[in-house]
Amino acid sequence: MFRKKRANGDLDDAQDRVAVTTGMGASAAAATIELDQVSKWYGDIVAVSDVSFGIGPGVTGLLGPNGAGKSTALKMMAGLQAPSSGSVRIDGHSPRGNPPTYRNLGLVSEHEVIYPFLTGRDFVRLNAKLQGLRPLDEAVERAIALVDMQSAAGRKIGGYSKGMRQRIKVAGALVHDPDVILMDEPLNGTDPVQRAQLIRLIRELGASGKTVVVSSHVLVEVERFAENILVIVNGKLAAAGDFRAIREKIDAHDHEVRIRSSDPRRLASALIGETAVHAVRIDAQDRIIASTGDVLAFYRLVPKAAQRLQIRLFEVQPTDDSLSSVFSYLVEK
Amino acid sequence: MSLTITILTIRQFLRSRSIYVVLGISLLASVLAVIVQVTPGEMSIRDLRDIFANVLYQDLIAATLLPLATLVLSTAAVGDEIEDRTLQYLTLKPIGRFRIVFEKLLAVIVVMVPIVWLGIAVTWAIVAFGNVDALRNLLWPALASSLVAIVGFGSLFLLLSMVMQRALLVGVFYVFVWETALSRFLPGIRSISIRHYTQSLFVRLVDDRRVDVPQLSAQSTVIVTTVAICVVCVILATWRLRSMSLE
Repeated sequence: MFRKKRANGDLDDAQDRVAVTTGMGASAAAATIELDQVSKWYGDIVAVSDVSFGIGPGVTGLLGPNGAGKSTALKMMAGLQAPSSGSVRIDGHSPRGNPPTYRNLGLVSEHEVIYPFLTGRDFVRLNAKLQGLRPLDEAVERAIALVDMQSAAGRKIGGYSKGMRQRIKVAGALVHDPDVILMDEPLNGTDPVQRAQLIRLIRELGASGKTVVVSSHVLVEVERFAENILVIVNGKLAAAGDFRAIREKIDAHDHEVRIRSSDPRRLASALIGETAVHAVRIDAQDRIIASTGDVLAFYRLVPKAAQRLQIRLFEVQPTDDSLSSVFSYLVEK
Repeated sequence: MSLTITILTIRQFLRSRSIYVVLGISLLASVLAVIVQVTPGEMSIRDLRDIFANVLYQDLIAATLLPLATLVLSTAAVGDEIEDRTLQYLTLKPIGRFRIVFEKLLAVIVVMVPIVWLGIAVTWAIVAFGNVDALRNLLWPALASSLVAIVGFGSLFLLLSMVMQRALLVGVFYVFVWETALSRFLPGIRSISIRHYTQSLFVRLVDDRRVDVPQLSAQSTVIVTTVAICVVCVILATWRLRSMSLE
């Protein structure tokens, strides 16, 4: 047990260790990725605190609000960062300082920057070359087709939209057909069509027996591709296991959702009468902040209402405050 | 070895502003050479040889311009990738860290050599204008000895960019304080300065008693020392890359 000062200044004891394994046939023996008593701190700030879990084949969602420690956990799984204490193993080996591990591991990072002077195809080819693949062309074209980027693969990445950059990063991470795939917020910046394609791809990868870990801070998103989830809040493992069981706990509390639209007042009026909506207000930036007890029903309701009223939707996102409070509830339990 | 990282880094350099800065620094001596040529007054062959060999090459190019130009490109080779977080596209591959460092250094050398040689050749051509035969034997020693500076400074500054965030600033301080000032006046420091070995090789190759440097080192010493600096820096940079945490 150790005590470190948190970012918010509070002193907090590390929680009791949670030892879980998620994925198909979830047992400790089946775990491809294992974290054992892993902590990571930067000076006085604890990013990940005494976390233990195993992840087996299938799709596992790594869920938590922004700044919860999801990205740090993924970076440690990928060997980009060393844990301050504890151990991380991929297929029984530490990924840190062990380049051969990367023959079987692909990471889609959260960072947007990719070499802007390369074409999408050049970037995927670069990844394939550095993986030592021979012959290259077949693997490169297969990876580009996986993310449906054939028509844009010849264009410079510098001219790509955010969603296209995300997809070409996925292609780069999958070109060597790894069995372990780590994705950090891969749906960020994608439009609804791209999002649906990526979600389908993630599910197919999981169904084919690969170990896929996808981080997200959006509950309804994770539900669409992951059967199993790990919830990280304030660097601690708050909950783990089957999505539905955790969902029941989460749904017991209201969620706040932020909506940007072309006519917030009319849309707000339309939402007020709906049973899934508990409260609606408009903030200083003319955005609707709606409170709901049934997120899924709410996310179905908003586009329908907007379409009926011919209002354009620019953003429908859970507020960070709402996510933190919902996830914190799991820790308290 | 396919040199994929070297080719990628060269493409990065050719599209960055650093390349224009390096080109500008390398051509600075040519501007001074033009000023010398257009200044009224007759200059003897001896004066012209002295201006190119001692003033422009030894005191300006080898002492200041070469280390500065190499600093700009070497710190960009890995430092820029750490800063914009693209280095993970290389480190998350089943390749040794030594290969990444080696190929990055190779890219620095491949890009630096033609630019530096262009600057030296243009400077020489301006000074030697109308007296080419008399200054002919100064050109190739300058080109050959500049390789010592490119390899030595290149590996040193590549390492520097991997151990500290403000490598460019620290590098400029090192160039002006250590290589340009201290090593020129303090005998002990002279022998641990890359500038000194660059100048020593130049003087040895020119073989003219009017072209000299204090505490002249032997050619073999220059080569062994340059290789040693390069090997040590690459080993340390490889170790650093292994232990580095990346965002």
